[in-house]
Amino acid sequence: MGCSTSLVALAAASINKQHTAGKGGAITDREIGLIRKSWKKVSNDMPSIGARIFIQIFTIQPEIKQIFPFHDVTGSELLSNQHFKGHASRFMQAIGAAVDNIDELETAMSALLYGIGKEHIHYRGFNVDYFDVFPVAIMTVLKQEMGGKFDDYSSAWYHLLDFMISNLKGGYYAAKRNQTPPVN
Amino acid sequence: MGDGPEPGLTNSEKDLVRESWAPIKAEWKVHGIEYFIRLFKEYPYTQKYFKTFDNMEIDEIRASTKLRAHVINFKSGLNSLIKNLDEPEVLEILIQKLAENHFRRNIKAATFQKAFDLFITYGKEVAQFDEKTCEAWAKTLKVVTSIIDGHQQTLSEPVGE
Repeated sequence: MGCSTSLVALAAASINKQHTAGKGGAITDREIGLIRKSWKKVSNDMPSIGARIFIQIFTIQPEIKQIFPFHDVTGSELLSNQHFKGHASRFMQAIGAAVDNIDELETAMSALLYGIGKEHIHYRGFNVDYFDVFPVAIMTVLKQEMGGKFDDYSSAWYHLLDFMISNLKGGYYAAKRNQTPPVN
Repeated sequence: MGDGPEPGLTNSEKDLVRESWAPIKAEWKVHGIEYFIRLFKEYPYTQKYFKTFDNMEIDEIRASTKLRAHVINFKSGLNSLIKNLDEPEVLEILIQKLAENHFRRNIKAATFQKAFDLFITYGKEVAQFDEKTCEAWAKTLKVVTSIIDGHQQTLSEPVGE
């Protein structure tokens, strides 16, 4: 699928424009409705969707896979790998929480995402730019799930994902600043 | 770990946990906050784990977004565990992650056990958990605590990190 690179460039450009939460404005009620509706369609099969999102992340930026214990596992073995399934599950849990609490985005959710962003400083090899890959991957999989219909929902999702990344990065950077330098 | 942390929960015990969770989950906006406030009142040291709450009044804490965030996290974590009761391998990873991020804050298995016991007490009060339901929860949560404990012990071992 040769379209993933152009999709990354497009998405990255759009996302990089708005690094502070709320720069795209508050998520509107209409967007909330669209996100909830589209989420319902995919949330029946969270494990599978989660797996696909991660496979997509690894396709877009293969070096990300290296930081995981399953870095050299591929194909169907990867899909049944305990760590892979566990991480995908945790990941979908977080997205689900964002959608569930979409009416409290600016308050509770931003704190939650900030905390998750913070956690990522503990993952060896993790680079803050990796956060930019996940919205692209999610959008790709959502589009696969919903086909042409996804066009109606895509800008709402961009908006939500942009908000999420801003907060994840914010938490990450804040934790980095507070981190004592590693003693070798 | 053999075939995973499967605690020998029977299918009916798993069902009891799932069914009794549903009404609590549905009203989590209320229950989540109340449960944590109860935890802080009963075990004041747990309040200190949240640096922001350290010298705050209970009412302030109740209204804080930080508590709200943690309550959301707790629900989504517990929900995930319950969703994966038939997937011991995934469960193990989820619990390990839980163990890790609490270990960094010095929150150990013993504290989880207290919090879980309180959760069951809370469930009895607000969701009419009957005896069998309480037992099913106790069994499930005991396994969670023991995996947390085991994993945290691994984390304590010096590894040249």
